[in-house]
Amino acid sequence: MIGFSGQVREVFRRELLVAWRGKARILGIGFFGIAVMLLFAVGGEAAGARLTKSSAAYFILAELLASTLLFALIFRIETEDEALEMLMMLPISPSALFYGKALAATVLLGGLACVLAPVGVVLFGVGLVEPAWMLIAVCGLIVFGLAAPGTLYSALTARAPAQEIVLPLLYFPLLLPALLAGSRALTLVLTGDVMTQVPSWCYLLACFDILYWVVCGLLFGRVVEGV
Amino acid sequence: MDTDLGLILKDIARLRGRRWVLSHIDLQIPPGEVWAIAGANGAGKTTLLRVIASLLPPSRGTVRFDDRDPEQDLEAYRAKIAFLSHRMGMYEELSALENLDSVARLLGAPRSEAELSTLCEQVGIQGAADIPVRKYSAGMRKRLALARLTLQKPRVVLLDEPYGQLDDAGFDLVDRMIRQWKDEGCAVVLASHLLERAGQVADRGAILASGQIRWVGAAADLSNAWARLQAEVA
Repeated sequence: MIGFSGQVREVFRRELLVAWRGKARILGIGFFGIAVMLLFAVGGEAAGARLTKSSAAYFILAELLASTLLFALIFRIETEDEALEMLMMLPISPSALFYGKALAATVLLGGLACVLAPVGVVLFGVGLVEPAWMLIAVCGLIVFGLAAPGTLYSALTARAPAQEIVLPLLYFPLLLPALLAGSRALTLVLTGDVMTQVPSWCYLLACFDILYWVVCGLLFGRVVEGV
Repeated sequence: MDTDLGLILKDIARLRGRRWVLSHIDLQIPPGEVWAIAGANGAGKTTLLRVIASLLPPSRGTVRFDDRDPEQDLEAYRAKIAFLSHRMGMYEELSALENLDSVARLLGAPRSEAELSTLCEQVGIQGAADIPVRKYSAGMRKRLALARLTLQKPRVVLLDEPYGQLDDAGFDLVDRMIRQWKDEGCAVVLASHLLERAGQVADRGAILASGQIRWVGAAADLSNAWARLQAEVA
């Protein structure tokens, strides 16, 4: 038997390998995110909204909507041939499974953010006012905040008859506090943080991230044993 | 911990909705013994195997293996159980080698590519070891699932319809593997509709009907016992 960190590492490695082998589906999710950004840009322009000011919210919403497709996918691969059941028969901790999958989801969502950010620059005409590391830190915290609840709810809804409906219904409300903090922090990074509020929003976002990762990690075992 | 008790099921019952799909199941399967479980569709064979595998909790009764209790230490219990289900439990996008490699790593016993290729050769899928599993036929999937079981060092092997989807060479492969597990001292439980075949490879047999054990005896008598029970029902 391998230790907890070894289990997490192996699940993480396997998740990324499966994603790489099925990269057409992952690319499709990226294109969906870009399409959402494009729709926000066109719709916002037509409604006379100030795109620069709303760009952070549009970026986060595009990331969020694309992430629902990713989370619907990451447990579908576990249930299409009952791979999860066989995985549970191996002597591995459900928490290791959760953290391995959630870390892999974080990497994939981070990749998605790297694709969407330049698209946002072009579509919304935004530029960096604050240092680049602040943008990376805020995006990183947002992605971490999406990954843990998404992974948990992905497992919870894996066998639901209408997963594509149930997953966002459960997932979106839980993310509201993190989305609010992330949206405010990202807006300040893109438009200027004259009052030095970014660290406070980042602190709040980090607190929610830690809460999500701890609580979801604890609940995951019960969820998968019932899947 | 007593390591010679084998698999012990005491008064197992399982409720699904308002219906008892298993009830009053008492079995003791010593190490090195092969049991064949027969029964009509819906008799409860798969449910029984899933309860033993700890994938379904019994509504009543206890399952133990060498005093290991799945309710006390699920990981330790499952470490000794190998389960071949109806579904093969593979990652469709990965090749046979990648699937086996992942399992071996999670078991803490990584194998070289040459070792995994040899394993694929032993189960007869060497020509397709590096193509995605989604391109496999049902029989090839079953062979790959059998290869995965050999990566484990189980004390209890649970086989749900192990001959399903396989050709004659596959039947022989399953028989060979069962005999090898028996020689290694594993308690083997197989559920099958192929009573003659199961009767030849098993030591003991049991017949399930409506979730209850109706007959227990020598596996060689399984076919006759089944015929008698069918005649009684008719």
